[in-house]
Amino acid sequence: MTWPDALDVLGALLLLLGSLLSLVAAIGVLRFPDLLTRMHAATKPQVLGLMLVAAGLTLELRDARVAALLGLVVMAQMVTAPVAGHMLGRASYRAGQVDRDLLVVDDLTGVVERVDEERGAP
Amino acid sequence: MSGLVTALLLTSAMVLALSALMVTARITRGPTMLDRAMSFDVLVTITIMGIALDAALRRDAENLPLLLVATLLGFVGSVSVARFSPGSDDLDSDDGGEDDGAPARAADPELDEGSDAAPAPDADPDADPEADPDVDPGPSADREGPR
Repeated sequence: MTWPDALDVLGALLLLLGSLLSLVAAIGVLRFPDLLTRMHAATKPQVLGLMLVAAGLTLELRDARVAALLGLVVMAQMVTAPVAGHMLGRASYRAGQVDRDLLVVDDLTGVVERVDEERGAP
Repeated sequence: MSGLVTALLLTSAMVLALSALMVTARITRGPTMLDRAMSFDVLVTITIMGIALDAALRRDAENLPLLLVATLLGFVGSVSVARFSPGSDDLDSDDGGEDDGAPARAADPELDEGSDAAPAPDADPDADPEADPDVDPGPSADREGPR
């Protein structure tokens, strides 16, 4: 086995690993009962799975420009995924769609009540 | 050796297709709009992985700028749905910002001072400002926001 073949197989394995991570996330998104738990499952392929796929594709193509572009994609996803998750979770909480019985720790209710009291209006 | 690589890539393509089907089922069933937005974000990620798999299979990097576009598209989509979904912070500030309801309640004591015999008409203006935001909180809030 020469070096290019080994890199090809390693890249294909990384791509398969990222795809399996997205399968796990899809099962979680389909089966979990709540938006917050579904978000917990959905975040895995968005960051780690995309990093694995980018690394695998870089090993497959072995091109510096491809590596730079994929690094940019991964960085953009790492910056934007937490913002999107934060806004989705907050919108779900403020809409009253969060099932309180499923929460283990709820630090947000006290904060929201205190802020509403300080502002005088909700 | 290239046969092994092709087999691995085709296997991961089938795995991606299966997971895309399951996420599409969640988009169809999803009880709330936020569920659909989150699932759409996952579907965009799976699409990105599919484009990367296609590039790896064909040994061709010409489609790779699509990955950057798809990433930003999914971000803008889910954030805008979360921002403008009913019940988000905006609508709460709308309910609070609807101080049109508060002056109406402040006008009630005036009615009390003016005529003691009208408690029942007071109850109706009390009920109306509370009922109106429930019926249509959105447009009035949108008008008050830019001001």
